Amino acid sequence: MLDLSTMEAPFKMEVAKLSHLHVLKMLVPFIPGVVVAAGLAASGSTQAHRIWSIEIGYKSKLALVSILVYVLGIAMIAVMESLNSLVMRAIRRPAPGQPWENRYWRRTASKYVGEALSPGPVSD
Amino acid sequence: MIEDLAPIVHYVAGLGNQNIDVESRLKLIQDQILQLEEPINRLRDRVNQVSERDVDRVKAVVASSTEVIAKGSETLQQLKKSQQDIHAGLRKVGMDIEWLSLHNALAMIEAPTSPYATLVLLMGALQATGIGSIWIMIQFKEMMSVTGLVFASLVFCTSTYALWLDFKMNGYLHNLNSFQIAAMIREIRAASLPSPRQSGG
Repeated sequence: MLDLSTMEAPFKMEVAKLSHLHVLKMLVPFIPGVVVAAGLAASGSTQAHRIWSIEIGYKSKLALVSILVYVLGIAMIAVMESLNSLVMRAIRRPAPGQPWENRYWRRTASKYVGEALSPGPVSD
Repeated sequence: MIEDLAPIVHYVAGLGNQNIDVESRLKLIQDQILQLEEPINRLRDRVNQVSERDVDRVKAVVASSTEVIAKGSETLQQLKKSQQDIHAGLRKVGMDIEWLSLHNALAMIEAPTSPYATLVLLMGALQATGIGSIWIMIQFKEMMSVTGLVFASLVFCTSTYALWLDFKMNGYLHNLNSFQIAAMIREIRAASLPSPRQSGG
């Protein structure tokens, strides 16, 4: 028989170690999600009414709506990021040189990995 | 064979803008070897035809041999130079592949985040909000408002422009390896500073 009290979660989230950027990344999908969900609710959309008329408790409805809002926000941000990436990559100019040809980077990398692991003189 | 290999080498090494023309140089060396082979064969035939007693013909062969040797040594010099050029070219390709490997390996070290990461996140959210609002106004006529549409369009355009600027700046930072350099400098400095235990005596 399984003893649930001794079981450990498959992953651990150390909230104290999260940076403000991580926290922001988690919260940001609510911005477009809330705006679009509010727009859908105010427009009298049948889908919005159908979700709200599901026969579950008020708190469960709130939780469901919050999850839907969050997922909607993530989806919108993901779609926009993909479109941005496609368009911006198509119109950007090609880089003049390769990143590993940068002499300052080579000098720093040589110092970082040490002489034994350095591919060769920086001037090469 | 070589023409099949060259694009692969260029691709692997990321040397699309460099042109080390191995194929044409090897062809040149091959031509020069053939050029050298022909007079040597001719000379060998003549030597075979000449008997020891035929002094006049021996003199003619010696004169011809001198000419061939001069020509041969000139060709050999050219071959030597071509061989050195190819060697230098291949050495550069090899060195670049090693730097590329190191570059890719160092991409795994934890680099600092962009100073504009927060702004970019918010701009991404605003862009999605803008396009979402426009969609709602177009989809549901009762939500349509000229002011709202103009405002949502402005939000969308402004955030898109901010994201474009960030994309351009990230391109420069990537090409200059700024994030990787910053991470390496941080670790080099941390390693060179005395630890608290050492400094404490």
